[in-house]
Amino acid sequence: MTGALDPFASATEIARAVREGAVPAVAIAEAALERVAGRNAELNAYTTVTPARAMEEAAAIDAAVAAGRPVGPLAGVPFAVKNLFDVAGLPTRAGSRINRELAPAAADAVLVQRMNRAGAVLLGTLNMGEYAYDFTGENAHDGICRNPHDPARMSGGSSSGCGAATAAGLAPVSLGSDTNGSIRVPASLCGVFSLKPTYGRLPRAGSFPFVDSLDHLGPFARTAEDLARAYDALQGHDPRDHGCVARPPEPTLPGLTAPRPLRVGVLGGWFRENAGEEARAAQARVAEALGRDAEVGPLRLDAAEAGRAAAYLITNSESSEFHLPRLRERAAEYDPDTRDRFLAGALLPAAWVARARRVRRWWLDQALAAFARFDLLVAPATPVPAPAVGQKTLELGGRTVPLRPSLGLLAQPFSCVGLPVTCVPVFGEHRLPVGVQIVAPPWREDLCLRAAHLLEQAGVAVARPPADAAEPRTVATRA
Amino acid sequence: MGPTDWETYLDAMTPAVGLTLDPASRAGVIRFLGLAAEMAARLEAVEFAPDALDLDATLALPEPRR
Repeated sequence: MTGALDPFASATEIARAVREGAVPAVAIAEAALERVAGRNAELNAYTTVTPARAMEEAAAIDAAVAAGRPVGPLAGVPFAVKNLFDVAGLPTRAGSRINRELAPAAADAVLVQRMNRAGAVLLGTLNMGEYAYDFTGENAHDGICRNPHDPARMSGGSSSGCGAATAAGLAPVSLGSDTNGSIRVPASLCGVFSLKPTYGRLPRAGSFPFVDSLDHLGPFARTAEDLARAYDALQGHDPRDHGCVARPPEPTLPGLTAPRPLRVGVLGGWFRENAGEEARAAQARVAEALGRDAEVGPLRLDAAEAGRAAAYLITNSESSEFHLPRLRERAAEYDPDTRDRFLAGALLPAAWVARARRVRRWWLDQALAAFARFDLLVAPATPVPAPAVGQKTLELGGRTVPLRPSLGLLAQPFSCVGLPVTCVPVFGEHRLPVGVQIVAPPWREDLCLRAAHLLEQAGVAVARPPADAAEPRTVATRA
Repeated sequence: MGPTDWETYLDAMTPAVGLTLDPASRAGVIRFLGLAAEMAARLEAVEFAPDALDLDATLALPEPRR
C-alpha cells in the first residue's frame, strides 16, 4: 500500500501520486468508497454516496494522466459536499424532509464544478442540520451525525457531515456552508481545519440558501496546505450569485510559507468569558506558538456581544421570511426545534431587525479598527469541546446556558460582518479537540491560512486521526 | 415584555403573516421570541451618536491592506 491510499493521506499527497502515475485515481476512489461503506453506518456522515459517478470521474482522471494531458491540482482527490449543494441527479435536500420532493438538480453547484475541474472526485453528499439552522449535528430526519473521536458526542453543525467525514478519513476535503459558524463549529468539535472565506468571495450559485446576507461557502481539510489548495481551486467570480464580488482569484498556496512578521491580537472579553477551560487553553497555545515569530498582544472587542445579537436577529428574521411559504403549508414536516425558531422569526418586530442591521455596520467598524493594530485576531471557535449527544445545556463561567444557540456564540460575531476565518484543530491533554479561530481582515484569507500552516508546522494545530484509526501524522508533505 | 404579553402578541401576529400555529409549537415559539427579545435588548444598549450612522442594510467591505 502506498501513502496515497492511507485513509488519512492528504489531498496534496493523493494529487501528487495520481499526477505522477504512482497510484491510479480509480484505486483512490475505490479505497475511499470502501471506507465510507465501512464507517458510515456508525457516523452517519454521508446521506448519499455516488459510487458510479466517483468511478467515472476517477477513470477520466486516469485517462488524462495516461494520455499526458494536464490534470488539476486536486487530481484524484476524493471530496464530498454538504447536502445543500446541488449535485446533478439528486434533490438538494438541505437537511430537510420537505426538499426531498424537489426535482433532482439539473446541474452541479458552481463550487462542485470547480472541484471537478481541479481534478477532484465527488464521493457523495453529507449530513447537515435541517436547513442549516443548527450547531449540534442532530438531524431529526437523517439521524445524528456522530463525532469520529467519540461517537457518543456531537459532531457540531450545521456542516456536521463535513466535520465528521473529514476527521474520520472518509474525505480528505469537503465543502460546507457557514452562516453563523457552521463551517467552524463542526471543524472545532471534530478536530479538522476549515476556512470561512470573506463574505462575497466564493459564489453560492447552486446551493440552497439559509440567510442570504450571511451565507458563506468554504472548505474543510485535514491539513492547512490542503485547505489552501482547495480554496484556491474554488476562487473566482460567478455572476449567478448576486453577493459574489467581482474579484480575480488571489491564490494563497504560493505564499503559504512566506516569511512576514505578523501582529496578533488575542481576544479577551466576550471571547474569554464565554470560553471554557479547554477552549481558553487552546487559544493560549495558539497565541504562544504564533508569538514565537510575531508580536502578540491582548485585545478586547466588547462590541462582539452586540454583533452576535445582531447575527441572531438577522438570521432569525431573514431565514423565516425565506421559509414563510413552507411554514404556511407544511410546518408539521419540519423538525419541531427548527420550526419553532422559524415561526418566531416570522413574527419579530421589524424595528428589532432594522436595529440589528445598523448594529452590524457599527460592529464591522469596531472590528476593522482592530486591524489597524493587528494583522490577525485569535479566539476560541467553540466554548467547549464536543458535548454529549442529546445534551441540552452548557456550563459556562458558572452559568447554565442553552446549548443549541451557545455553541456558536464565539463564531457568530465574525460571520455577522463577513470576515475571513480559519479554524485550526488543537488537541489538549484529552482526546477531544477544540478549534481556534484565526480571523483576518476582509479579503486576506492568505493571512489566516498562513497562520494555520505555521501552527501546523509547529505541531500546535494538527488534525489527528481518531484514536481507533492510524497513528497520528503531524505534518503534511509539501508537493 | 413578559410571557403573558407574548401570548397576546402571538395570537395577534400569527394570522397577520398568514400562519396557523399548532398548539404544540406555542411554547417553543414563545421561548424563541423571548430569546429574540433578549438579543434586541442587547442591541438597544449600543449607544449611537444621533447622526453617526446611516441605516445600513448592505455589507460593503473595504479593499485589503497589503
